[in-house]
Amino acid sequence: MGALELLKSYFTSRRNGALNLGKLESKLRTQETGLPRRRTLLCSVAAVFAVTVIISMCQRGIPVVREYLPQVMAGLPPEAQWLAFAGLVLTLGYGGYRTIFRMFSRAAKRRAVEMHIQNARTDRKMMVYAYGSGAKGFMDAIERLSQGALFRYLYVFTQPPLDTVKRGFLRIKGSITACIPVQSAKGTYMAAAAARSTEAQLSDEGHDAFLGAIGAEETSVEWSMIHVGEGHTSISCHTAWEEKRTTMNHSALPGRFVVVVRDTRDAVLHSEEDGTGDEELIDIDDSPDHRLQRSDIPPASLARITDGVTAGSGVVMDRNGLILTAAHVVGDSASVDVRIDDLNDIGASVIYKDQTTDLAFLKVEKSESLIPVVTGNSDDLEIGDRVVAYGYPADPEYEGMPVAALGSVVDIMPDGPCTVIKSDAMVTAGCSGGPLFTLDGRFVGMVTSTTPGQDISKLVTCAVSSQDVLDALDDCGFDQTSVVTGPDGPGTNQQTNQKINKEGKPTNV
Amino acid sequence: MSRKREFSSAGNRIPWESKAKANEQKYSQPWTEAVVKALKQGNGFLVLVDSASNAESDRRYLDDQLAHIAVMQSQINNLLSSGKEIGALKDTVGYPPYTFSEVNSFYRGAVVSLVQAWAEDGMRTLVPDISIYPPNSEDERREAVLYGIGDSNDLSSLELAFLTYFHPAKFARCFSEPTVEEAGIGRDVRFFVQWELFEDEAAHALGVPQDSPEFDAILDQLECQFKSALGPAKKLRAEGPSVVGKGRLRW
Repeated sequence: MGALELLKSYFTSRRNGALNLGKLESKLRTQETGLPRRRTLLCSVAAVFAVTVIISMCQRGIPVVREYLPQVMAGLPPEAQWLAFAGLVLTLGYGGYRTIFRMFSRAAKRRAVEMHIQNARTDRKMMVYAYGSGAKGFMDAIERLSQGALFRYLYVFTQPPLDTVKRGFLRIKGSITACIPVQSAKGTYMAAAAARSTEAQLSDEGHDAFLGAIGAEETSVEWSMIHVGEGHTSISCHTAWEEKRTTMNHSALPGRFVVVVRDTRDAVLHSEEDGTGDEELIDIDDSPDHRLQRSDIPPASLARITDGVTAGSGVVMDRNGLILTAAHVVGDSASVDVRIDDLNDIGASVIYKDQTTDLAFLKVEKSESLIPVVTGNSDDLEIGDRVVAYGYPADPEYEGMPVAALGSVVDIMPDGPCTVIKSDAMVTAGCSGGPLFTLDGRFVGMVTSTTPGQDISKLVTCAVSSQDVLDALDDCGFDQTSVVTGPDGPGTNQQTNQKINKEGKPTNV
Repeated sequence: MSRKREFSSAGNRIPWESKAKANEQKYSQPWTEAVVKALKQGNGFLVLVDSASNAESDRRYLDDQLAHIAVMQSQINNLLSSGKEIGALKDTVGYPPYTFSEVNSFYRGAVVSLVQAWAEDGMRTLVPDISIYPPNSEDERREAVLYGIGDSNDLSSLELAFLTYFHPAKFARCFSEPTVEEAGIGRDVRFFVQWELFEDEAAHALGVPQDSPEFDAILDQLECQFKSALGPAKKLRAEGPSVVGKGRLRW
């Protein structure tokens, strides 16, 4: 928006009874759950503190400046004095201008939106209702698509979870969007039910306020966009489904187009016992030798590692009880607890740890029930190959539930102490030490961390390559023959039950 | 006990067969209740879309496509230049499950390349693994609604190519001229299609078995809507061409 348009918007008077965005936002804000009130309080305290500090500095600083500035300036040649004076004036002037312009510009833009909505009252409109955490993605997409322009005919009413909405209740970019955040269902069933009941009531009130303010009571096309999911994009919904919640708690939904978005694919895995396992979620190779089976991964090969303080993931490397995890997961502990196949915790000793590569090996009792991973050749990986990362998130919402994330290899960095495979298979804290598989079920890396990718706004998952894992085994003198490798994987293609050779164990254990 | 389903009066179709058993338990999934409730409230179309994975890029792609479609529908809704009003589509097409195609661009004079792309890859939809190819036989023809924004002559060319190639069982179009704001963005036609999904495809899109009570409940609701829209004497008439093309490939 140009300066002239801003000026014009700013000085356009508001008619009696016309829409006031500030009032509408405050109406919607009252539906919120206390966070802004706390934020407002904190901001007020911070502002008072800042003003006090500034006054104090001025009181002490001005006499000092008066005393020393003439002395300093007198020591300078006249040209330098002028330059210093001009620089000071320009800096102060520009700072003041920017501050005032921002305030003015914000107010003018709001007036422009008010006028826009006012003009659009007579147009035919379309309303989209979006529910769940997927609503945030849809809102963002609308903003990206609009490129700052305003769509006059599209209104969006969303209910994303509270934790996905940092600020802003009425979007003024893209379509006109009201946003009533909902709390994730946490705690007991009764608490969740009470929260849902309150949300439904507040949502209805906010919805009515929004429709009334923008004059959109009569719309021609309505979408009800429902996210059916238990996955990464609908974590709140996942919790909700368990608590028998429906996202359709709104009473004023026409739903002339019911758009059902299923975003469960390869997201949260369930054990087969609970009857919700879905073998079709991951498009895997049906080759019998290397099939990635739900009964094997997880829970059979995936391990949960805890040392009482931190928690992470691990993976069974062989039947002799060798478990791979990340060094930072075990920390300084000499022994940790390992849970495999959702059974009881078993004690494991840390037998190898290398902070440089972030690899660590644990040893549990040998057991025939341990199902090792099939190791693939990470050297064959190429950018764009599809991979799946597994792990146990530390988030209590998952309550020990393993997750899988599908993504693609976005970069392979062979330099450094180990080869790092970067992928956009996003996992969260607690998945460190978890395995990274190809779609045909070969173990090709161990998840260690997340880091900003080429697009710094996105995180990518980093994994140490399986080749480095095998090299570490080799360097330490561990017997690799007990590690199962695929036909085209590295090392021998044998599966034996030889005991681990602990000779040559590194000194940093 | 099985029975034939009816979502539309589009003539001979792939039979939709209810596999629900008489003693089957009522569905228990809350999302089913949500979908059925939404369909009931608006007497609406069911549109199924799915993200290819939970990777950030795939989710963002789906969000962008849906946002694009919503914006296009809102523009068409406000300024219809030819075809059916979106609110009146129910007079023309039935209530089978639908999905959206990806939003495509069409350049003037690019009919041949567009049809070649359809022939090679089909028309990609927002359900991964499902692309729409021309029908092999009469019962494989689908219902379709073509939405487009652009120059009216270009839209006519697109419609002709679409009808000739895909032979929809029932067809409606919703076209609009580009808005003033868009005049500088580009002169190409943007379009997408609301495609009928067959039963196995719809079950695949929802991620449930065809014989599950959840799927059955949703289809029951759609069938009920069709019957109530049809009324005692009202008969819907297919607008699609009668010529049947060759070859419908499935994913």
